[in-house]
Amino acid sequence: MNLEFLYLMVMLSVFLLAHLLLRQPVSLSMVLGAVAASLVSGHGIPLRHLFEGTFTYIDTILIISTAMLFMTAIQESGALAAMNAAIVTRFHKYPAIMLILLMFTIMFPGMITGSSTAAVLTAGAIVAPVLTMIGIPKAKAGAIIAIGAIMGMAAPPVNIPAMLIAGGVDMPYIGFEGPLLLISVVCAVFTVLFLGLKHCKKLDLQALQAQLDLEAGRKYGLKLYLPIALLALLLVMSNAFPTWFPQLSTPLIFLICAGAATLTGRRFPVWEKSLSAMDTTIPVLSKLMGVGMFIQVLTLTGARGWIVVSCLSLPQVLLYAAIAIIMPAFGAISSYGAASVMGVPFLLALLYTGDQITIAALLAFICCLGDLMPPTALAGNYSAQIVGLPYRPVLRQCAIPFLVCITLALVYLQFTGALAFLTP
Amino acid sequence: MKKITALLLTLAMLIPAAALAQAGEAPDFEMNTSMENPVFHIGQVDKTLFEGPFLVTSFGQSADAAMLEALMKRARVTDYTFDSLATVEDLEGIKTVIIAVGASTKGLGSAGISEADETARAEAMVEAIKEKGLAVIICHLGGGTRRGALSDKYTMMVLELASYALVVEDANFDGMFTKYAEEHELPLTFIYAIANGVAVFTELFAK
Amino acid sequence: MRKYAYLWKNLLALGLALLFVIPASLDFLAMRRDEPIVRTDALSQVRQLSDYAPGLTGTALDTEIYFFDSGRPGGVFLVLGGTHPNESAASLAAIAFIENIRVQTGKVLVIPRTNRSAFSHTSPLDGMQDFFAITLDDGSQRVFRVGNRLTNPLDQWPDLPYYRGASGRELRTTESVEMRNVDRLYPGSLQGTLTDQVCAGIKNLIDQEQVNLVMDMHEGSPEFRYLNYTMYHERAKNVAADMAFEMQLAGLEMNIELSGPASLGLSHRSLGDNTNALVTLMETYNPSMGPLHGKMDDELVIDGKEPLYRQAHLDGHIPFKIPEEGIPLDVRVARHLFCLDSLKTAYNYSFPENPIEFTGFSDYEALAQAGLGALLQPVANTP
Repeated sequence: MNLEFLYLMVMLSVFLLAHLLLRQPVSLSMVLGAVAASLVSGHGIPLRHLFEGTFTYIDTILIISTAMLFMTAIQESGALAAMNAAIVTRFHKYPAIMLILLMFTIMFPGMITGSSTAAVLTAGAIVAPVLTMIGIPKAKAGAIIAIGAIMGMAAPPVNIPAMLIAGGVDMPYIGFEGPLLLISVVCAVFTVLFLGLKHCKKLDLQALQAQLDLEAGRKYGLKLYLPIALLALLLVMSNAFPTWFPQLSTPLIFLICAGAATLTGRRFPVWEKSLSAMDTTIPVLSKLMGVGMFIQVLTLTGARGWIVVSCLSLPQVLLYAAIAIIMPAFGAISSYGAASVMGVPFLLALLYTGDQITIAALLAFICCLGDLMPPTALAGNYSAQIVGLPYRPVLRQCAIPFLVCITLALVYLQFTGALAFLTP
Repeated sequence: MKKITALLLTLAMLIPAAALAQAGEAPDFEMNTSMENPVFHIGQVDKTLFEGPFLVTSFGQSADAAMLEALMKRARVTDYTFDSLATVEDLEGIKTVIIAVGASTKGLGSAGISEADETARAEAMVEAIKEKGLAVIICHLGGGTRRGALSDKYTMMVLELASYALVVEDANFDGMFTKYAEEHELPLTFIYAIANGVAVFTELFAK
Repeated sequence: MRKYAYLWKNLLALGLALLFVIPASLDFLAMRRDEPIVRTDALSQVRQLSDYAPGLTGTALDTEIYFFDSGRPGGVFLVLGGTHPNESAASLAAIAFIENIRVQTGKVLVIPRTNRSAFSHTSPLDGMQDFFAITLDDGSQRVFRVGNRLTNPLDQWPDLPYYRGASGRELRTTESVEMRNVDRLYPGSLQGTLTDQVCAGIKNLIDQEQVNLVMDMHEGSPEFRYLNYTMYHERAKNVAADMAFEMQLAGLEMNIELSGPASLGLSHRSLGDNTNALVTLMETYNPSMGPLHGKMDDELVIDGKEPLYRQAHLDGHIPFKIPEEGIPLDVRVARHLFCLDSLKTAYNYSFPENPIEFTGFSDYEALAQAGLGALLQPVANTP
């Protein structure tokens, strides 16, 4: 038996044992799995590797933490409620258009930052109450936000998995806009209409208005929206005009705008609310750290290479099955990881079946869907948290749109030659 | 729920185990040349066809043209001019044209011309060479990496004109060159590496 | 009392963390010590890159330049190793070059740790080794670091979302980490980041020492298209072609590729554009750098043996021909050294009036057979 396979088995069994039988949190179970595999492979307790893996996601952790602070601030200041009231009052007559517009709103921060978490925690948080208010059940609203955020992450201009895949084969990240935009918009529109439309065909403004919080909007006026406008402005400007606009990193932008929100609306106890926001997010952050260790040891023991090489030796039909199953499944660990570990070899395997840029774009799209996969499920967990549910019911609502997205991507993969007109 | 997702994740990671059973050697194509026997001829070349002065040029602007020039120098051919962007005017007074085929986007970019410009130049050259009835040697020196749609387009253009072909055999992985040589009775020499072409050219151009 | 219980709990957590943090820190700190390089009597002098880029003085990016001056007029050859330290054969070849060269005509300059800071850490998630040991023929051992391809973030942080190199190359999104990559920022800027200053220092070195010929030594992962290739600046066309010929005549595979407009900021493009030197860059195969590698151990790092990559090649996914027996460091270092020798020969072919002559590396078979055990000198013998 292949030794790398043995290490993988040890790693997974210890992880499952710790998590399911000993009821340890995912993050700790991952640490235990990593340490066990390392011991078996003769690397001892590799402290240096555990630390290196842990701190890989420090940037993501900073973004998530500060985005949580921002979200809490605009919730508490009343900005969210006021914005919802405004959207519903304007668009209640055209539910389909309203839904599609709301979906694009969810996608927008993801398109700019390339992060589904940023999209969920900003636009997702703004749109969630609107969705529930117009009658969409919470679980479906959560699913719309999760998938919308992922479509934003997949849509151009910034698609980080696509950049990772392209970088891995010495291909410039140019010409990806067409195929990425096509598939992400088609899937986003399908998802929001499929999950949402039947619940909001006939909207009664009178009844809705009773639920809307109109008070904050009246009291503070346009000033209330300042932090949100500032966020959009700073994100767009520092990404689009880096040569003359000051380069602010995403965490700093979130902190600035969270600070602004404490001054432009209802007063709230900033320290206490910030602490409780951090408390809710620590489990996800610790999962990310556990994931870092897990991948580091997966690589150290060679199990990562074994998984990929074995997938690549599958016959063509099974290869597509592996693309559809393993790449999103790898998202349970990290969708960026899926792109760099699996995306590059899969692209090499498919290179001559059609248009290379379109193939790379579609593989990146499939990687993005991994952000729905538990246990990390960055987009999924935070969407569930925003609508106030556990992840399980939200995930169930995601199932059909998820399958449609994957199927569509697989169908497109068969016809990348014909889709080549989308690339320059 | 957690149990189900954890199990699904495990199963997904184990899918590759299915591949274990059928891992095996993929057949390499049979090469006629090797490090030990670096030259292999198909057909008999008529040396008298190729007289100087020679023009050495490139179709596709790959780095192989630079290697071809080094090959000419080392084969001690003196009456040649090298211009990777040679035009119809440069054919004046030339008796034999030696063309390195193979496309390189880097090369095209560096020369500041588009694929369309290069194709137009190549087509004009082909017409003029036919009109003047000049002898042509095709050199495909880039091996397997210089195959693909664009490179093959230039290769086919020149193969149709050529009276002799010098090919680094690695490029013949699909039998394209052997097939063409057999069908058109084109004398062809496979070499293992470009440097092995020195002996071939030295003999070919020996007075 | 309850209040204090909270405090005790936190202190306990901190104590537990320190229990792991302290030994881990020692591991990381050990990577900050430079390994010794043996100085032979052929060496004329050792200068610092900060002599050409003053801003580097006292920083982790200042690095040694080994000068070998024959005293006879001729060409000047600059050899860069350790641009990406994790490309181990390239770093070791530079050290073996320093420890064995004899220069007869002209001057040879060698920078063995071009990005010195990058030796002091490894790449996250890649599970790299920190050190590996080479056993010399006299039985002694020399230990080398694996390192990373980027400057240590502790020495240059943070990565900006956007950075414009002096070549005009714009680094953004996933490429923004490349602002810690020496081989993206040429010709460099004395006003830029420390990594940028390293590039500017090398450019100034080339200008002030009137360097004629440059080789930047590299390795690539098995997926990389340009293994056993030399990239050349357009002015170095003839020298690169003749060098490839020399290597092919010795039975080695060697191809050449022109440096394209997309390579702005890379040594072969932007040092070539901004200095008078002829600039080239050579790549060898390194299986420990790719994402498909198996267990990380000496067999992978030193013996270059990787059955998983071999399988991927047999399955048709990796075009590079990966032999079953692997490609050990010894062979890759020999290839680099022989390439330096061939480049010199090719240069002299084009510029006989301004030759560079050195000895020690003209027999590839002998170099590969001798291996690092014979090429590296015992540290105790340092004069």
